[in-house]
Amino acid sequence: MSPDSVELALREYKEVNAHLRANTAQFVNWFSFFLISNFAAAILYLAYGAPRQGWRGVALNYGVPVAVLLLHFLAFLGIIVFRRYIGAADRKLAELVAELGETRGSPVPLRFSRWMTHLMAAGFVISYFAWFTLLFVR
Amino acid sequence: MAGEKSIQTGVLRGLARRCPNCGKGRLLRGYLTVRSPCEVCGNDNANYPSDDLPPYLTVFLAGHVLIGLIVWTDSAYGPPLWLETAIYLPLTAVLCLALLPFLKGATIGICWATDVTRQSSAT
Repeated sequence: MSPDSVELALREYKEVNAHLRANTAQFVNWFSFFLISNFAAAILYLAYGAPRQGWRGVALNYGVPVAVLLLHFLAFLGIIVFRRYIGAADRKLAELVAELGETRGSPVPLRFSRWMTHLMAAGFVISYFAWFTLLFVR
Repeated sequence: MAGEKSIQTGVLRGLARRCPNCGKGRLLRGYLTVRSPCEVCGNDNANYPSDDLPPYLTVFLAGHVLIGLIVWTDSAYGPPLWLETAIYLPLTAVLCLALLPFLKGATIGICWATDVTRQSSAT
């Protein structure tokens, strides 16, 4: 490998690492916010969202939970995309490490990432079914 | 056989717990172990990642059925809590255990149709 190629591979390695770190932090923050605001909203809805008459009542009783449930599908899609993104970054880093002649492999903690997304999905399931139950609770 | 590759075909064959590639060979050995290679066409069905999605699909489906049932019986008949627990805890377990192999098959079918393998999805 020429010095220029090594330089390029090293720069790419750093870029992918930085990208992964920034996006992971951003996604985890966003998901935590999503989950906490969902639980807070569920508590508020349960405490103050008393059944009302007319269109306002229908919107409050069904519209709000349905809208929140639809948001959950986007969140789940986000988890899947995030997992695939981590996988892609891992493969790219492994490729670069091999290109540089090292044998250590990718530095991405795949097992940890896997458990992290499992935890996210568990929180997602609890939040989803809490809102699904609120569809029926009057 | 590869020409018929579609998500619908994969899901239907998977739900029938048949090899998604040929639709003939049995997909699972025992409860959840993937039989690989397929006894009929030789397709490597263990190469499709089906470890994580089936439990989520199971919880998702079983949750909708059970929460609907629980809320309905609770509001219609108001049974005591011990009776609800005695009925719904075993029912939840049985429903989840019953759904899991079928949804594992469906997941493998989706992966087969979309060419998702363990190598292409490292996580």
